[in-house]
Amino acid sequence: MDNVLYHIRRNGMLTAGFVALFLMIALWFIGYMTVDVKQAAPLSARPDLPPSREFLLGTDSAGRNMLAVMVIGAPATLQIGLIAGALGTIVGTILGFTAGYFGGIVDSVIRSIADVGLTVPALAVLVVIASVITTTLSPEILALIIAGLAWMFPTRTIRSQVLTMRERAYVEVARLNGLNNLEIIFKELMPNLLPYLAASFVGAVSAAVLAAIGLEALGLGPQSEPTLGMTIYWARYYNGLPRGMWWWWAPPLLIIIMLFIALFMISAGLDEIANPRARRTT
Amino acid sequence: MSIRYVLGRLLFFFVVVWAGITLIFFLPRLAPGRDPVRERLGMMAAMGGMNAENVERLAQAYEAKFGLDLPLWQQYLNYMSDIARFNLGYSLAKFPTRVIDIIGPALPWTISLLTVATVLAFLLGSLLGGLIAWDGAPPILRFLLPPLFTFSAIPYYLLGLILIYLFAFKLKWFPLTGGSQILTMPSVSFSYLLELIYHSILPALSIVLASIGFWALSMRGMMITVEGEDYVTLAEAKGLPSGRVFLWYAMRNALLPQTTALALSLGTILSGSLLVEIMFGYPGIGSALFIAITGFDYFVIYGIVFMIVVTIALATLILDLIYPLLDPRIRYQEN
Amino acid sequence: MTVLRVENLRVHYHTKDGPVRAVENVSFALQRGERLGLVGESGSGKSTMVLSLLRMLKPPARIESGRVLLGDIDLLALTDAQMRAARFSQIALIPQGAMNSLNPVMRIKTQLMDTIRYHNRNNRLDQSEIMAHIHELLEAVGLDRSVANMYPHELSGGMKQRVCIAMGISLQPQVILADEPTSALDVVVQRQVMETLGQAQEEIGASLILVGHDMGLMAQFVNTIGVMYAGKLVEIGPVDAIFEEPLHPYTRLLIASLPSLEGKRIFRGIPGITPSLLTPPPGCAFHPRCPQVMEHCKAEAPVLQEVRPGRWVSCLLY
Repeated sequence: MDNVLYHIRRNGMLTAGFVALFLMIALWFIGYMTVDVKQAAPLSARPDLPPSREFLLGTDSAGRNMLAVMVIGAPATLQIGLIAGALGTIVGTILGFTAGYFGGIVDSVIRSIADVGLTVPALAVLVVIASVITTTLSPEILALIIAGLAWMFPTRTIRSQVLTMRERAYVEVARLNGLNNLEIIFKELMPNLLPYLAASFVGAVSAAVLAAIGLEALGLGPQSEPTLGMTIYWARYYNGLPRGMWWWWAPPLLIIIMLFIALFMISAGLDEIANPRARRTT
Repeated sequence: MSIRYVLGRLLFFFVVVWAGITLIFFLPRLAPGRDPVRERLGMMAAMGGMNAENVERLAQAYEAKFGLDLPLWQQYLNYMSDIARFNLGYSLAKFPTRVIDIIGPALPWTISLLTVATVLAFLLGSLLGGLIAWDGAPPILRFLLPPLFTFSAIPYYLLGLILIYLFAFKLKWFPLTGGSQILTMPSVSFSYLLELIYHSILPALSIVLASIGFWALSMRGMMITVEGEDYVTLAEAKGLPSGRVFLWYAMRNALLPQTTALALSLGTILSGSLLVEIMFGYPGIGSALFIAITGFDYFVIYGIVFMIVVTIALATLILDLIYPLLDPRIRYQEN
Repeated sequence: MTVLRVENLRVHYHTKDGPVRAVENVSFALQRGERLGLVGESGSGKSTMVLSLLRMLKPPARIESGRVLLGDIDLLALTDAQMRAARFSQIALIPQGAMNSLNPVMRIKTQLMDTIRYHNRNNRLDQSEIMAHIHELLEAVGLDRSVANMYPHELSGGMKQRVCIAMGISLQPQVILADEPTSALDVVVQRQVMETLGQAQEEIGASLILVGHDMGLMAQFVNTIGVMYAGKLVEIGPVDAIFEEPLHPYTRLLIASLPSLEGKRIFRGIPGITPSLLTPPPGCAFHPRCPQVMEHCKAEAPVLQEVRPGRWVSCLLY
């Protein structure tokens, strides 16, 4: 823990990322405490109202209170990212470890599948799945589907890290000391890989959110729940932009951008810890 | 370049395309108990109309190839043999238009927009990132880092939305939507070309702006590593002009991992630019996909996904074949 | 005739915690054709010294004061453009990491050509003359001329280092700096490469500074030895005299730690660790490890002085 605090103190990127994320959560909490979230449902208010004292972010054409939509939508979007990112990182870590540590045929198979999977664009595969089950799609199912494609990048990074570490002297020493494979993995490799795992996780969350809002922009998201991506989709679908209703599409867009920048800074900060060479003194 | 390397990359190309086809075939069939295509065909037949007879024939042809009485592997083989001949079927929404006739006209729009924007962003971003990491460059460039950083975190099409609002809706400098004026007939003329460029500036700009930062940041990372290499130190000790050291010793080597990164990002770039098309109503593959999804036009969706997979696999293959020309260590490996 | 004279050179690394004195008041002179060996542990400032002679130090390192006189010219007073022109044409470097010193994506001939072309003022040589020169150079260092068309990864470590030697002599510099040129090679190849280096240097009549930590290699190769400790030159003198009777206790320990042929001595390292250059010990920096330490060594810093003809040492024993 002390170590983590030390890095946060001297790593500006990481600090800024966490501060941004914390600010967003704080804002959300204020919104959650003050806004009636039932107004996120259609027909809760008069449609097409610009921001006013009563509706701080106005209302959309279906009569939703946009502020309530944001309070509901932001965590829904982040939740998709967290579930998919966590599952992807866990599966990726297990596969990456297996491939990197044991090598041989196992490695070839895992690596080839991950390489092919990385080349086939995730969005294309997601489109095929989502187009079939679009009517029953919930954020949780969307997260699971995205997780199915989120493991390949972590697999690749973790594998190459394990490969370089496997050859280091301390692993050799551990082996000579009679530690078995599992002990070596958990006692010697894992601690050294932690910053990579953390960076992988944040990267996977970010990629999963990107994939989710990408699907939603195509109209393939959950139809019944107002996630951020679906809000942008509806705003576009009902011509919110040419009608000048910036309060419809701009708030979800800004929240998404802030979220990406925060995640990006955290992952860059973690990267700096993982690869000291990327540090720059001047 | 060794034959083994080329064969290996070719094999990879076919495996990727095969994996794509297989996913397109099996994924929809995993949905329990329903075949959306059959449902859709049933709906169309029930609606009747002018094309009822043709729809009937289409449904029969579909049953013959993918009917429930056929074993799955037989359906799979039928599907593979269709795809191998680029027989992508008919549009369900615009029957009897063939899928290939929907994709064909859209493809040049996507490929030209994507290629120009990506090449521009890659080259400018790499140069910028290289300069930022280089001691000899004007320090003022370092101030570009925060905006680059910000832009690179924004998905292309969301940046596109902002650009549309600012430059098309508010300032009215650029058209709100489309790839050309609705009433202009395509022609080989300078004025038509200008019109095309005029309409593609904003979509291209959103791709370039959003990805230039990504390339600049990753190039900066590579350059910091490469600058520590002994050959850069020796090049400087040799008394070469700093421009020569920068371009031919540092940049030239940092570009190698950068090119690998480009190959790995092709899918993300393509996905992003398809979404940009949708935002701009740009008449490429992305917009065609959007229309197909809205109209539950499954054959078009699958056809476009297939084309996306083939495009990416092809672009990856091209980059893989170019790479040995950049790195002699690969070129001579097997000799 | 003195070719190179270094006077009171001081190089500091400016860190958050204060200046690190990597090179402190170093002075020596190099005669024409002379081979000077600079020895010391890693961190003794010898590599920093080499880079400062080429003016290649990057921040946070900075040359604080001193003069580097090449003939009558003070290299430290040259403009950047003049210094760039002087590199390799006047003072050349044969680098430490032969494995990685050549650009992996460039043919050998292009890398040699680069050196020649950018110093070829007014285009005195045309393309074919440069090519002929490159072939001569490669043959002079014992390589086949077909090497010109190869890439670095096609060469062995020894061959790469020969290419670096060819590069170093290509402009016939007055001074060659060789920074542990053979540390990455195995012993047999090491010897051959050193012979090549020696021949090449004699052929063009240059002086040579060989930096390293291998006293045995030095003994066979150089005329003069300079011993560095904690950024300072603690002893300098003719190689035979130093081996016969080392004056500084540190030099004595360095020589004693060499494995010898006749004696079955137990190998002894030098006890203790290299001092921090950020906060060097007061007085003589070597006093915590010195077997002959005296009370006033802890307070009084010795200076380099000629205690016998040709023998300079920085120690309070003399």
